[in-house]
Amino acid sequence: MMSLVCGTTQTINLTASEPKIDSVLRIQGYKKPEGVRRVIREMASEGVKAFVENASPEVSYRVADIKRVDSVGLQLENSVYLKSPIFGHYLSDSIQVVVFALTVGERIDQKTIEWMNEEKLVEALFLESAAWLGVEDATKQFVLVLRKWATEQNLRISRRLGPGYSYPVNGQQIQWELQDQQPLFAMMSDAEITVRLLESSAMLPKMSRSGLFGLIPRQPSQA
Amino acid sequence: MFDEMELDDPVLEIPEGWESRAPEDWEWETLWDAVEYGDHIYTDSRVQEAIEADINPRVILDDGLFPGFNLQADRFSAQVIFIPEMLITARAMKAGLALIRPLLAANAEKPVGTFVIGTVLGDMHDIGQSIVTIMLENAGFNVINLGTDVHPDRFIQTAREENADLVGFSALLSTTVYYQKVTIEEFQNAGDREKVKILIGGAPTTPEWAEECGADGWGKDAVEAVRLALRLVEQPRAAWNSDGG
Repeated sequence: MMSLVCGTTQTINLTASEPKIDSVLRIQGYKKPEGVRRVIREMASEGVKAFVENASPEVSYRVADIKRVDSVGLQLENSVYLKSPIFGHYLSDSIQVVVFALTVGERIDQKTIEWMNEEKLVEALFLESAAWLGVEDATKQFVLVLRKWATEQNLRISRRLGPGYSYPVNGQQIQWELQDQQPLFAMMSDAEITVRLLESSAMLPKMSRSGLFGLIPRQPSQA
Repeated sequence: MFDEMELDDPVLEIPEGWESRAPEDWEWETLWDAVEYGDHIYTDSRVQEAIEADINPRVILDDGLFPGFNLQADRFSAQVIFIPEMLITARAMKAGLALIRPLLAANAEKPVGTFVIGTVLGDMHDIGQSIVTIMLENAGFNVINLGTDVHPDRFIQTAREENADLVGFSALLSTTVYYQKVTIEEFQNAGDREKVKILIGGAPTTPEWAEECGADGWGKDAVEAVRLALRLVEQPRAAWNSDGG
């Protein structure tokens, strides 16, 4: 288990676990995967195999100090400002954040496009499903690293927050606007990272996830 | 045979009077089965045999290809089957269509309509709209697929150039559905909104959202999108100028 480095953007290589074929089939609606036609199962298996062969999961992150957090937004170091009322709700006790961009890699996108060009749409569909499971798994791996490191620092981590999503705050769903991808990625501009941000705030590789976690000091009873 | 089979599983609708439109001793059953089970190789060879037997291409389409395809579309709508089965059926249908489309064109049969499709700005997901594309093509539409991350201006420009009847844009992320509304507003600002029918779709979208953003229709899935497109293309629209726009 590795440790986190503060102050600069770092990248950790993660492990590409093989998703279960039944899980991939469930994503496509098959509630009873054991009864799926052989031809469909074979295509799902091909999608999973392509994921394992092409995935290169990694996460780039940076630990940053919180300068101010209130009901309007979050002020970080380097004059980076993220605007949403969610921060006052979810990060009020946090002293730092870990911003991150995680991906299962570019080769997944390339393989998907290759299959689509060959009109192997079903296989491409299953590859994409396997890749989303891969993103979930990579996120869990990162959370484990983060949680262990935080515990060593006498910290705990907040829930994950991501631009473009809404979160419950006092009974209402409150949005963190997608446009905040730009300042979020600016936090990691001191290093070359695999995940690129488009002008539209979409990420490439496609199978990527961005966001942040708050780092909250543990109370004596939690230590 | 199929997993998830339910008692209300739709049944194959045999085209009435098909025998009168085919040579003596001809049978379509194996082709219906081939399309249903997604056997594109057999579909290709059986359609070729039908062409060589001098069967009218429209008859091959209606009596030979559509029954198996429609059965699967009904099963898909009833959630008896899912996208993968629908796609392998669509692939088989496409194999047959590739052989008869030139013959239909030679008989002066025009496409049902022109459909411009793409994924909205900021959204890189292309499989969903590729699925809708293959289904629309199978239904007889001329489809111009602009791919992913499409700027509203490009939708408008292409609709003008192609004298499009319909425009459809998908958004697969809750983070990008907003651009469906933006794109419709841009059609309005460009003065082209009344010239096309606009469909939206994608996992995070709802009929309520379609109404809110001013779309003409919402397809909950690829099959529904095609059925909707077939209805909307019949509805009146303002004409494109002869030079586009």
